[in-house]
Amino acid sequence: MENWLIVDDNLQEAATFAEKLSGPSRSVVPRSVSEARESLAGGEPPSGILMDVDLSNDPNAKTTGPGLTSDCRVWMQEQKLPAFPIVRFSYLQNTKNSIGHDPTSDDLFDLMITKDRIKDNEDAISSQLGGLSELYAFAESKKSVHDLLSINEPDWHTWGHPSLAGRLAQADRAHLRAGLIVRLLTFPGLLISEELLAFRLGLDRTSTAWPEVKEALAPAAYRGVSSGNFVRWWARGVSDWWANIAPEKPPLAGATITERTDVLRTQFDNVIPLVMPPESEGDKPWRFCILTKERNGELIPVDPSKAVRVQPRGDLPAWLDPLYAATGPALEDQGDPRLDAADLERRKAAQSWSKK
Amino acid sequence: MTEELRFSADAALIDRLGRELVSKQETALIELVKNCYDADATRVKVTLESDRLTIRDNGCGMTRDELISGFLKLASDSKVTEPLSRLYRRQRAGRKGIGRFSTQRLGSELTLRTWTNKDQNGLELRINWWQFTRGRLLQDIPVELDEIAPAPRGTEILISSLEDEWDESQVRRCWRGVMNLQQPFPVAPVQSRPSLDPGFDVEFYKIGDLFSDPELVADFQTEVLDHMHAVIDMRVDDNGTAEWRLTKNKFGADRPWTRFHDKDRNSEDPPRYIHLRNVYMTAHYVILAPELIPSTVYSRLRETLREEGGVRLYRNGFRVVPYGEENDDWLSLDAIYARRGTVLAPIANRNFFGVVEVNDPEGANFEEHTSREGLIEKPAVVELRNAASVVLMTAVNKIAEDRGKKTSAGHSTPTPPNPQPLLEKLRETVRRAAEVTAAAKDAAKGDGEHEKNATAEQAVALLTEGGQQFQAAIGEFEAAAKALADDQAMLRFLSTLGLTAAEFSHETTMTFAALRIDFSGIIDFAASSRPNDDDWLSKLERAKSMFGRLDALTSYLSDLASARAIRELAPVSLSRSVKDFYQGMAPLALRASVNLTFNTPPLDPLLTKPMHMAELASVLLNFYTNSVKAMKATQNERLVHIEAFRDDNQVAFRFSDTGKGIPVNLRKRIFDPFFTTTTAASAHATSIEEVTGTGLGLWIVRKIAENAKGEVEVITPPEGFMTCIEFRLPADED
Repeated sequence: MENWLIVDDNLQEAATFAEKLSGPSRSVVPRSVSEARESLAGGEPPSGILMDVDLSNDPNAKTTGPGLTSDCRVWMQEQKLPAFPIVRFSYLQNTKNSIGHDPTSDDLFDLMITKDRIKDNEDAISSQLGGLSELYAFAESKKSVHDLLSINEPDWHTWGHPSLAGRLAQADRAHLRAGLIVRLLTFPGLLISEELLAFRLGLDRTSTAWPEVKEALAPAAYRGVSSGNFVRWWARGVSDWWANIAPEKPPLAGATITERTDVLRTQFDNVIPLVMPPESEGDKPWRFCILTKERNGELIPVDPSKAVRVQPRGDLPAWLDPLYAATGPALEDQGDPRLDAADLERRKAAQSWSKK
Repeated sequence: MTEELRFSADAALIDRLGRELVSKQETALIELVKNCYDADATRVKVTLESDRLTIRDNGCGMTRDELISGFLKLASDSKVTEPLSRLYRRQRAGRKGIGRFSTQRLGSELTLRTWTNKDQNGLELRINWWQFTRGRLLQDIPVELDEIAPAPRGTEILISSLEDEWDESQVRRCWRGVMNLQQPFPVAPVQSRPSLDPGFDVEFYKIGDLFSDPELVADFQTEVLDHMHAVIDMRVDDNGTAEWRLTKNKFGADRPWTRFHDKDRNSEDPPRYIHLRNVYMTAHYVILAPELIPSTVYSRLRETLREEGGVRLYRNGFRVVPYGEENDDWLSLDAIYARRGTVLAPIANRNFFGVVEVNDPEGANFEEHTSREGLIEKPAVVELRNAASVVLMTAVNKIAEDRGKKTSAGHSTPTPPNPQPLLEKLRETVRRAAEVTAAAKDAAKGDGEHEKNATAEQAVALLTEGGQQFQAAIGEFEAAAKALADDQAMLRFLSTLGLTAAEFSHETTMTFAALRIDFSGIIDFAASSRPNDDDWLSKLERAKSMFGRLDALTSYLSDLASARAIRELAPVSLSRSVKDFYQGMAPLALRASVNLTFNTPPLDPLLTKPMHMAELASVLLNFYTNSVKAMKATQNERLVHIEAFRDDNQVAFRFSDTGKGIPVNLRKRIFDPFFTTTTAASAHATSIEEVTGTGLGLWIVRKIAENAKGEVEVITPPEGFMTCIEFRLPADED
């Protein structure tokens, strides 16, 4: 039975979230900062903590969520506490106010969940929490990268990345190892989600062919730790699969939607091509738009050659994909300092309204 | 043997009683006027001359018996045995037995003439109070009674050898004293009150030493009503149908009788009141501003209304206290004024002189407390409070709207004066003055008398011209400062409200995240507990729907209120604003059966020049709420469409709906401050309710457009729509 805590300055509200995220195999209990400290000091480590950011309503808190998390990570490093996942759990507005563009606390947390979006995403969030617990349990034993990610050495050589292996080797504590795997699973890069897989294949997921396509891609599916909670595919495995079925065609990333679906039609029936939304230019979708995802959770495909690069808040490891914004949302949000100015100018210059 | 003795009274008792009972001459005069009132007079004329005072009324007069057993009998009990007057059933106002002492207090000779019928002889009673001296018995001093020729019915009291002089302030105090006697003017139409009191007018005349014609120094009409700016009427008939109107409006057009109900503010066919019947109100309204009232009467009017202002309540013709008394705020007018400040047009008790008249002989709806301290709070009383306050606020909003319109002819909106040209002239004058001063200094050094004179003349001419310009400039600057102060006050009020709303939205959104989870669980559990109870399930569905609406609205407001939207001044994407608005409003629209659609160019952000993101959202929200109101008033299919586009160097959107449309003659006026077709919120409404429907929404829209150098106008709607408003802003050039 997993035993999670929500550390919050409003225990009444926290009780609601706790109840929502509790289940047959997981108990979530609301705790104030002082109660949580007491519990941690008393040698009762939880399976994980959902940590509020702004704790200022609690006069006895005397810290912030990132502050307490930082303490926990130090205690884990000192092995005064066993490793367990810590999830940032805050209202969007409070996160904007307290964290803003400052990336320094990002590495402390395994996941970032906004309270505002719990209701409509409770299953996915619940699954991710389960995945984190499994991952931390697995990370306790110092297994090899192949064992952790359940990938054989030749495939890792082709689909993986040496710097990830290097970082995993350096990680001498479970929470450090777990943190690396969590990023691998939650950000597109070596691994991609189902939505991104469909974008890259130029396929509309309402196609009846979609289940068959996924089945055909089974060899490239991720089978490592927490794969039950994080459904992913090895990105380079997908490209390899494409090269196998279309050896004479351009590589997947360089093919247009029409070219991609033409190839898929040779393998599957009822293939419906992806339609690029009008605000996203180009016809070679490869990434998704980070701006629309942040605005309302909407994933729209992006052709990187006709999009705007987005500077991440912190440096991205080499095994993660760069971030992009579709032209329309980027032009609407020109004041966003993360947008690459040169890309923005280029996309703007390409529009008929700007040529006057 | 038993001896029977009798009391006797020294004649000096009269003088002693007079001085002790009636110490002030004004009190004495008021008491005499009260006697006229008690005699069912409708008109009283008080004339003050240098050595005598005359009080003439058109009351019932006195018969010989009444004169002897009433006036001449000390401490007669006629006011106790007959508490109501004979003709109009007035509650007798005069204090018991004071009248005769009052005459004695005022002067030493009294002539009382009285007629009960114009065709019969009258009576004249003459009393020389100076004869009532110490050492003589009261009954030994004769008074004289004669028959006199017929005259119109009434009584005339002539007092000569006056004790004191009368100045204007004393006359005025008397007048105020008598104002409280009766309903100051009739309110209910005559046909609905045939047997009721037609009113009681008192006029004071003072004849100065140098004038032979009477000079009217104070009467109710000249003191108050002549200077009021509008008359607001309300009537509720015996079916509960309520109407209001505005007449004698000095700022704009009158408004005809219009039906209303305070609980259904937007309806063109409002429901009838359930309990309220046969109620009439007339309230005279004034804006106590020095520039709107003649300077000679401003202070006096303000002073009078401070004490007498408000809306009084008369039940079956008689005043019910404490309604309308000083410090009483039964319609919450002062409370509203305190809340709204000077921004939304003055609406304190001191801005009104009004009367509410209720006719309820049986006391079924309007029953007085036995202590005579107001009415028992029955439902009709509550309805009356709401109806009356709503009418006053609605009318005042209309007046405010008219005031705004009228300050600038040929333009639908007031434009602050521009003192710049005058400033330029002043600078020039100062420059020339400096030149002349320098020339004067030079001339002073020289010997030429002619030269000195010429310079002096030039200096005088310049100073005269400069003085005139300064005078004009002061006027312009004062006008500009006032306009700015008004705007500033309005904006301060709105920004305070906005910040409160923002803070509130922020807090509620936090709570909502948890609440929506709990609420959803409770609804699911409740539904499963009684799965076959349709009534129960429909209630749950209703609660769920209302909660969803609240949730959607607070989420949108919270996004708007986020720090970024409020604080940053930056180019704003019109496309994004429309999309965000759609996203926030779609759930609300769905619940109001509104088909909300939009169209934005996918790759053109339609960037404006730097402005606040929240401003555009506010514009859209204003249009939307107006549209929904307008569509609810029709049976049309509810469609709202927003079309955003670029037009040369402007970005714009058109907001169309299928409401009732806007008449051509109102197309410009809808953006004026306080223009509204909505009845005002009741006195007990929240701040938010007060602001909605006050006609400030579209004014704010116009201000936003003007501030951004843009435009807003009503244009011909596209096919299938009834109203279309186009909002244009300069495009960002960078």
